[in-house]
Parts: sequence; C-alpha cells; structure tokens
Amino acid sequence: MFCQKCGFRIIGDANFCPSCGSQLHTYKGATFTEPPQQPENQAPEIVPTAPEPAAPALDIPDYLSQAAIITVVSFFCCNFIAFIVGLISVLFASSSRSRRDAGDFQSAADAANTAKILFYIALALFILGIVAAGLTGLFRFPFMNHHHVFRNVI
Amino acid sequence: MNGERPRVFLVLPIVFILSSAAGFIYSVDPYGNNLLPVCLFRELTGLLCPGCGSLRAAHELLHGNIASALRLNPLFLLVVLPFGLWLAALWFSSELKGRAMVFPAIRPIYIYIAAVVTALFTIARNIF
Repeated sequence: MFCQKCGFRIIGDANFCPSCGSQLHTYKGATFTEPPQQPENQAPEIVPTAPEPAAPALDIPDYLSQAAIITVVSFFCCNFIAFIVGLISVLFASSSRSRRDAGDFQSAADAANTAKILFYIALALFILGIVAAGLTGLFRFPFMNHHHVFRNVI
Repeated sequence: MNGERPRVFLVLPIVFILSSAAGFIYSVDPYGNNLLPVCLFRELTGLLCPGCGSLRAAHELLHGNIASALRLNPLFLLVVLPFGLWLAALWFSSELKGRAMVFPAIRPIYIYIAAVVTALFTIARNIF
C-alpha cells in the first residue's frame, strides 16, 4: 500500500507512514473501515501484527492518474467516446480525492469506485476503437468513403 | 520497507513502448499507406473529431515542422501533448525515486473548462 499523504510505498501492515509519520487508514475494496483506536499509553511502533491472514490492505485507489492517462491517449488516438468517458472518470476521481481530503471517506470511496468503473469502460472503448480503426485502415471497408481516406488518418 | 527501489520491470517496458511508438510515428508516412489507423468518427460522419490530426501533428513535430503540426491540431500541440509529457515526467521521476506517483488533485472546474474548450474547438474546426 501507499501513504495517502506523501506516496511512500509501504510493505506490510503499518499504522503510521515511516516517511512522513501520518496515520494510515485501511481500505478494503471500496469500503472504508475506521482504523482501530490506539490506547493512550501504547506507542504506535510496537503494534503487534494481526494474527489473521494478512489480506492485502488496499490504499484508496482514486484512479486519477489512470483516468488522466487514458483520456490523453484516447485524444491522441482519435477515440472521441473513450476521451469523453475518460474525462468523466477524471471528474469522479478528482471529486473522490477532494472528498477524501475533506475527511468524507465513504463518499470518497464511492466516487473512486465510479471513477474505476468509468476508467475500465474508457479502456475497453479505447482498445475496441484501436482494433476497429486499425482494421479500417488496413482493409478499407467497402461502405467507407475511399476518396479521402488518407486525410482521415488520425 | 523497501520503498526506495524503482520498479525496473515496469519502467523499462514502458520506456521501450514509448520510444518504439515515437520511432514508428517518425518513420511511417501518414499520408499514403495503410499502416496507420483512421479516425472512425471522421470515416462515418465526415466531421473532424477533436483528436483528428494529432498523429500527423506528432509526425510533423518529430520531423521538426512545428508550423504544420500547429495547423493540423493546435489543441493537441498546445494542451494535450504538454499535459501528457508532464504526466509522463511526473510518473518517471516518482518511479525513479521509488515512490508511488501522487497525482496532483485537479479541481472539477478545470475538467469542465477542458470539456468546454474541447467542444468549442471541435465546433470551430468543423465550421472554419
């Protein structure tokens, strides 16, 4: 998992980031679970590891960078629809980020989930579009206009 | 806590893919062969989509023809390409430091502005 504040990559369970010292919240999938309260007299460094099998605790994935990348790449590859879906995904991801920063973790997780779904839709549309556009470029389907086909290269 | 090592298995393939894509765009002539995909929106409707011309603009840019790249797709050259390069630089620098890329938060107003600018650009390039 990663520290949500400074981005430090953390291997294993930890309650505090070893880089910046901020408290780490644990997300399992899209639902937010409150971190267990520390007793006052217990130092955070000596928290024993939980005996239960360590399910990989996911940091809150807001999919902002993925959504931004698919939006830029879709624009470049002339994939109009994937570009629009990617832009909406960026919108949800950034609203998830701002809700998380405001402390509203449950709605941040919901928005992140929507951003994730939209990101995968954009990715699927992008791959579909690339395959279709590549095939069109290669075979020049008979129902297409041939006379200006080279002007249509993306 | 080995958060300091760059993920070489991820960085090297992406460097390879990006550089070979640049080499392909540089070497393939976009004006007369079947190797490059066409814009399906333009094929079906005859209208220019906001991304039309960006591959040709990238080809012209790699050959040093900035003026013709600007004529082919100004939105790509002035907005999308700098944003993409900035995104790539951010990712590579954070990977080399061994940290996860922390994407700067984008305020929703900027996304609405991007959508409006793209829509206006699409309308304008189909009229003029």
